[in-house]
Amino acid sequence: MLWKQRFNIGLREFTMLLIALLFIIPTWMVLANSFKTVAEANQYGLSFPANFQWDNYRRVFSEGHALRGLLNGIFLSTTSSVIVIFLASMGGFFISRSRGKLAKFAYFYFISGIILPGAIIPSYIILYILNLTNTYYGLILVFVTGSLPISVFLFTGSIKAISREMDEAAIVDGCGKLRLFLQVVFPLLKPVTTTLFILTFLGVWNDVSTQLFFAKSTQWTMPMTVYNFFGKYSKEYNVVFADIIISLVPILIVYVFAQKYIISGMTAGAVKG
Amino acid sequence: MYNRFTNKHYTVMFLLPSLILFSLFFIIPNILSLFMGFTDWTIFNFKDPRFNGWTNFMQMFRSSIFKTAFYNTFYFAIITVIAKNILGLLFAVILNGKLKLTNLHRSIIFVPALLSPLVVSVIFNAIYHPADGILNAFLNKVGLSFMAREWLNDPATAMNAVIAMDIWSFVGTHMVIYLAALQAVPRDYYEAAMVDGASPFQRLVKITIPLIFHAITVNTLLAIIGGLKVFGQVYGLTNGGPFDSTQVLGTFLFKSFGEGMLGYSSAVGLFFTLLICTISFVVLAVMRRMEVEY
Repeated sequence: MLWKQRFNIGLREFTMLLIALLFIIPTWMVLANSFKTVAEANQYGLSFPANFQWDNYRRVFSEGHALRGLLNGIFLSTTSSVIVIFLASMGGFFISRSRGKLAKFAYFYFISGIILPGAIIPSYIILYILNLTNTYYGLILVFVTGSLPISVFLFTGSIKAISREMDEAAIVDGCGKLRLFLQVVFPLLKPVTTTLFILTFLGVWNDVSTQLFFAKSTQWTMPMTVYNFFGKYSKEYNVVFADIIISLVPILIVYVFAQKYIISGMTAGAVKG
Repeated sequence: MYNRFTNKHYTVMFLLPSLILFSLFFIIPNILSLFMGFTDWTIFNFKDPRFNGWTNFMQMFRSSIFKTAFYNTFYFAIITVIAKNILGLLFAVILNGKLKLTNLHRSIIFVPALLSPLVVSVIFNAIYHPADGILNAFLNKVGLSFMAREWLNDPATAMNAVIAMDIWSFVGTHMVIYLAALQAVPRDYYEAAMVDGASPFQRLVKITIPLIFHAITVNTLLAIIGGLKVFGQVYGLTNGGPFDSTQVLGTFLFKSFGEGMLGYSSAVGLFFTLLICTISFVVLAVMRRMEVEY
């Protein structure tokens, strides 16, 4: 290899390292200070903690209701994702298979939701009329609706790629309508299902405006409670940082196990071919 | 082969649940907002709203906070669209050169995009802290103490501080999309160009950019919609302050909703929706025309 090429690669490695530091330093600041005392943590130093203050983490659970935030988050995110997948895959099945006008109309009807933002205030009125404001049901319905457009879009595309002859073979063998979908088509949709489950899960977990407009603070997911906690304990950065670390753990677990699906969800449709 | 025999197996019952839910919480609210924006509805006359014509819109365009919010939203969107795309493409080009730690770098830069803007804003509150935050501490240490500011309390820097945080958060998403597009460009195009003696810059402009233009369209659109809709980042870091200097349309909407002005905030929301749609469609149409087939 020419020395010039080597120098080029070395330069790239070095540049990337500097860029990576911009992302690592803030994370380290949070992690290191989450184990320090108030006096140390409020200086935001980057030094290694002298004495590990595990008590900060205990306080996050006892005073910051971290457990409630975690459970709310897991409950809301999982329920919304499961319902979206159920509804969107069935809708996509009809849209991609039926040759009627309704299917064509429904496709564009859902797609409009990808660009148009939701109308928050009238949604609030509808929730109010249905007596669903400040309830988990209302929240879940709004979350599900929010991720329906992209889910229907991706499911329709994936189902179109599955040959109709498979359906016909199953029907000839006497397979019923629901069974055709559940046992023949749905199992083939695993990649897109996984991707959408994770994207919806993360979307709900990190949501700000829906919860702020429609829910009371005891129903908030973990990241929302972090902000609330910060409002009350802004003089004690050590506990605030500990709270942040707790809120990051589920995201990192999801990322480590589902990296492939997250990336493919982000890049879906962005790459030609 | 497509006969009535198979077609009746695709019953409309599959579609109805999602169609009803989507109508109830998306389409109907959007239609309702067309009407609500023209009423004097507040929580104080909840039972008795009246149509008041264009009053809400006139009030909105006269409001100086609205003007600031409108200007800030565009400022935020334009700067973040440019920065996220240039940096995202730059990082992707560097990483595409088969570095040893490509995957690790990609993860490090991308993970912030998976965090809630509120959590990120709490972290940046510490970074921007006037006395001891690491940004000012760094500036002081390298001898640039004249540049140290009260980043979030100074109307001159608060908006840019929010913008910097947003770029930090989401540059990873754009990088990941560019990287996927770059990896899909056929290698032999570059080899052919190199044989013909094309310089690295020529290769970038004549091969890479045209072939990843679809990704540029997607990234621009994502950044524009994200930028115009921005809410959590501003709400978390400054909540519109100091002195409304960082107010954007999203926070302005939340503020008027919080004051119980249902009709007025619907009008703001309606204006907001039309704005985002118009801009998105125009940008999409223009950029689609610039894409090449290969």
